[in-house]
Amino acid sequence: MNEPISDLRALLLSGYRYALSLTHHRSQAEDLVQDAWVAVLQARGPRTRAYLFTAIRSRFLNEHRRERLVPMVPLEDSYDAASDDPPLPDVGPAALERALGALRPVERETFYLASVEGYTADEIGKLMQTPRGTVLSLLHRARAKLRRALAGDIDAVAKT
Amino acid sequence: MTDRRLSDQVKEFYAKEQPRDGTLARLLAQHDAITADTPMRRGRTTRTLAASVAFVTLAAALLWSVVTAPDWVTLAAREVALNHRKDLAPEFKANDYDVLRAAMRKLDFVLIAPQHLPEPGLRVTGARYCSIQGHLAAQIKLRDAQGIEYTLYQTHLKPNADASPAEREFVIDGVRIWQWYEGGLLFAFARSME
Repeated sequence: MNEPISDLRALLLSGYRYALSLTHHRSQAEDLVQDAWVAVLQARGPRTRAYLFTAIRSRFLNEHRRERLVPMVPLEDSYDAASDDPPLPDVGPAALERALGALRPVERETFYLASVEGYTADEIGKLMQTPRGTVLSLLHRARAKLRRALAGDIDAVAKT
Repeated sequence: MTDRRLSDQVKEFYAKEQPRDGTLARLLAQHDAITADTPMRRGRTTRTLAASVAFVTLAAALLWSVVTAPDWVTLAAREVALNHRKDLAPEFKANDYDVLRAAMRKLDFVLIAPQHLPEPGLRVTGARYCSIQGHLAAQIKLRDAQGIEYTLYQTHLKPNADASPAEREFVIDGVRIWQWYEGGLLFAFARSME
């Protein structure tokens, strides 16, 4: 997370996908990563995911500072993320995009960081400046919402 | 029928997402342009040698960065060129500044019609939000009678920037840019060069 990445292309791709998890809008994600990238370069900041993601996140929040992103209700720290994610039928990208769009940005962001970037709850908490329990709560909430949003698609796939 | 964990399916979904063609190349070019303009970075990999010539190197690098570092106006022009080349669709379609002024509520300044433009006979076709050097800006799309598209930018003046009335002109990556100050705002007008 904090190690400099020599492959700038890979770093920028990660940045774009993280921005997409926040905006759920491709053009806005491109704008967001461009703004953050310019800021990182001008600040002569380290070329790390953590630094780029923080720059992206702060710009996103600046644009949405009037919105209350999600009510934060901590769960028990003993929450088991793995058992919360049993296998389900392959629903395809269109259904996933629709379901991801049903999440709040902060839920989508948390799920992205955990699932795609492989961040731990502690690492996500550090990036989001949020307690670990809240991160776990967000993960649980995001997964449950996704499953609910995908219920119709899962039934349709199961019947084929 | 395949069963997989939701997180694996989401991971595959994002792994297939790519920015549009040319976006990464532009960002990498931006990296090269900005780091090339900040020569102090070049010496960072030679830390072992630096011990023997630390004082001289530091002094030289400081002097060099003061002499060659691009100013805010030049950096803004580079970003205008990038925004122009991205050619993103307008978020607001309108044919005059009054409609855009009313529609673009997120701007932290009042959008105005410029007193003059470097090209005559242009009509407004729409606008979108963008940013210039971290400041929220408006990108206004204009078109001439031949259908050639131009972009006009307005944003807040950077505090303590040199707001002299002189117009500056740049050519960056095949885009000609004019910058000037008007009504307390920084204006930039961009045109692709054939």
